[in-house]
Amino acid sequence: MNKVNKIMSKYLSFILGEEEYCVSIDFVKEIIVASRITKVPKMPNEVAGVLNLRGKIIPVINIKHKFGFDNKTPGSKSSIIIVELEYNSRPELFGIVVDYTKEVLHIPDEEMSSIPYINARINANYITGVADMNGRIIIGLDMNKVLNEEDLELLNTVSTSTGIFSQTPPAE
Amino acid sequence: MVEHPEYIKKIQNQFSSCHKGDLFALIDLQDTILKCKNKSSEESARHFFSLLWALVEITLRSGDFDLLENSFNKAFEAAEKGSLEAWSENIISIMPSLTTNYPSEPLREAIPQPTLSTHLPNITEELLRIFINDTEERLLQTEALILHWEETNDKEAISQLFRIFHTVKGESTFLGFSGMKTVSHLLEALFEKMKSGEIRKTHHLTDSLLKTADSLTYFLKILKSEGLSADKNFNFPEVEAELEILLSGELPEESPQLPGEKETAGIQENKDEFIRVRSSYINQLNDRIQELWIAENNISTELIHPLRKITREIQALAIKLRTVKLSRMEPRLKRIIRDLSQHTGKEILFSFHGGDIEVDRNLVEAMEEPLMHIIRNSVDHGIEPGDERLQSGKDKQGHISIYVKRKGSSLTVTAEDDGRGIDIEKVAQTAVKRGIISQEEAFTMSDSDKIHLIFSPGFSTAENVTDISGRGIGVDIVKAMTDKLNGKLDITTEPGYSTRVTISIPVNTTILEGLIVRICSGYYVLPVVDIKECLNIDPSHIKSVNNLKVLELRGKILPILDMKNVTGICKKGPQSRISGLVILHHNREYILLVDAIENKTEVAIKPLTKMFSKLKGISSWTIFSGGKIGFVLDLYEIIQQTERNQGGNSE
Repeated sequence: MNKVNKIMSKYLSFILGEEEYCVSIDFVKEIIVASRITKVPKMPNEVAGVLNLRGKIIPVINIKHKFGFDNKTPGSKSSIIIVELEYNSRPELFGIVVDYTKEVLHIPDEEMSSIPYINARINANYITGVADMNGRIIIGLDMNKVLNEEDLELLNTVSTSTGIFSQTPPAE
Repeated sequence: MVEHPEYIKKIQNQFSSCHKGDLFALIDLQDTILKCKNKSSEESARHFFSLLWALVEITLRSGDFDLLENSFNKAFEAAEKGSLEAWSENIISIMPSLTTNYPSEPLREAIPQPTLSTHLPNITEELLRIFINDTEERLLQTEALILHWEETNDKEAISQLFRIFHTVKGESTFLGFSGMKTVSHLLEALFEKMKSGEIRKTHHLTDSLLKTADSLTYFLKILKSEGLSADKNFNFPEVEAELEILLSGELPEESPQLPGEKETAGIQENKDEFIRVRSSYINQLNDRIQELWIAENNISTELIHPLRKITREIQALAIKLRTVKLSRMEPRLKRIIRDLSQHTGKEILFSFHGGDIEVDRNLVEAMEEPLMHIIRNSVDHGIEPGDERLQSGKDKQGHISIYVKRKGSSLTVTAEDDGRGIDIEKVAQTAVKRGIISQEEAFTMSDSDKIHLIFSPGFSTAENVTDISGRGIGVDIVKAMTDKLNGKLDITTEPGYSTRVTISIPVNTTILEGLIVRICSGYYVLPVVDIKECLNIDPSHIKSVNNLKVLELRGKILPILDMKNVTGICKKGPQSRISGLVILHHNREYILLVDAIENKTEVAIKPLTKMFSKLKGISSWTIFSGGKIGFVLDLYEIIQQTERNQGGNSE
């Protein structure tokens, strides 16, 4: 896991509920406002929908739901972080719904590599490390693990069963 | 000013880095030698380089690397001693013995042919691939030309054949395919004699020519699968012997074939040249154009119209880049008919309609095999022998026709014969015997359902398939291939008169004429071709029969597909008025309930990303003007899904 060999790495930090998370800036393509998500029929709540990024249709994942935060749909302050991941050994774009993005941080690698015991509501596999920036606790996420192929494949399979959705889409 | 020692050093270095057997390295070497020769001013050096060039050339043809190594080492030694002339004389004296195996090539002059050095170095796989593609194309053309010549006696066809094999000969020599080279050489000679009238047209001759083309095609297949490791010297002893006999004029006793001396309009030579393009580039181009198209949709002023028209034209052209004409497969099919007809002694007239339709090249290739099986079945089992046909009041000649039509986003290919048809009862009884259906089912089934039994798994795999009114062989292959193309297979027969097999294949179009509908707050697209009628429906008119919602429309009871249930995206209270679409699927009508019909427009469709690929009922998506995303509904899937759910659905 400690394959980072720089002293400091750049991270984008964001808020989910009351907690602050971050992802390595290497994955991040851009940040957009969450106003244009189109619901996809029969997809579980973990999939917020799809969005149109300049002609490309990109799946948007509601990681708050995936992490078991709450069931709420993205609010007006919500942002979507567009990340690029290898999926089926091809680069694919995904959107991640977060409550809001905070800033780009330089975090020392040794900070990020330590995983203290936390009462994690999220799968410990998803975490690269937890940084303590003068009392500010920031949880680093490994995007490759959060959006791993098996989970996404599972979502795909869930969608083939009968309708699950019972919500009205947020937009429009 | 003696510069050649430096050149010789260069050649020596390059030669020492050549791997044994690497022909392309030798070609590179030859190039270098030629350059050195052209730069040298001294006559003796020029002569020396010419001889080196010739030695490489000989090796390229003979593949004898040891000899080359030997001679080259001697040459380099001689060069060091400064005795270029002595070596040159020596080599010239032994040259005839080196070239005896290749008498047809004017090598003895040892004069470099500058044209031979125009090649692309170090792309061996690529070169081979190009050669295979080109030659495949040429052999396809060959088949067509031979058949054309047989039919019309058109001399121009022979000239074209001559040119084709001249090129094939050149290229196979270049790549060192000695067997192929020999055959092309013989063919060249044969075509020359055919053109001059020295050799006359016989069935035997056409057969031999077609068989030769087959053998070469077979060799290409080997090359394709084995790549550079294939045996370069693969040869065709039987074909060669046969061609030699034909050339010698010792034809087997046979009356010259009745010439159809009807000098027709000649061959329509395709003046449009073909170029090879990487398909990923075309896909990228198509993607960019789609983006342009979408971007344009976001600008809505009067001014946009001319721009939009141009974009649409560019898009149409870009889509066309991947396409070929369907007539491409015609010669293959003709050939099958010809062979089968000779084999069975049945006379058959074949016609192909719709050859001008252009579809994706891959699709044409994929369709060839199922069609070949259908035709084989028709000839073997459908078409009756001549006298039997006459007895039943038909023409002596059987007819097989293929009609290709484009209908909306699908392509229908119909193969029809006027043979004896299929004995439906026999099919049903066989299905009972095989345990596919029960005896009771056999009584209640409709004829069209019965005939489709021949596609059921287990029907044709059993032994004695030919008993079943002839059909069976290859039907499972046809079925499998159709499924692979996401197509639908249909068969109808009129016992005693005809059999018709239809394959409908969805064509990968990127622009769809779509009707946009709203279901709750989502937007969906339906292909306009599937829609018969739009209705305004009062919900109180919807009746329930056996848990199945239906609506009476002009005396007909039509089942209702409520899209709210199908998409499962929201539950809203009943509305006072809803919209319905009458859709036609497999000759059955359904009514699709939606919340609103928005408008009709052309949409550029995009395939679903892998993550959503298993989404049932949605085939693709699109971006509307304004940037909204819409889903293209897969009616086939929706109908199936609804019909499956009907049993337990209490609402």
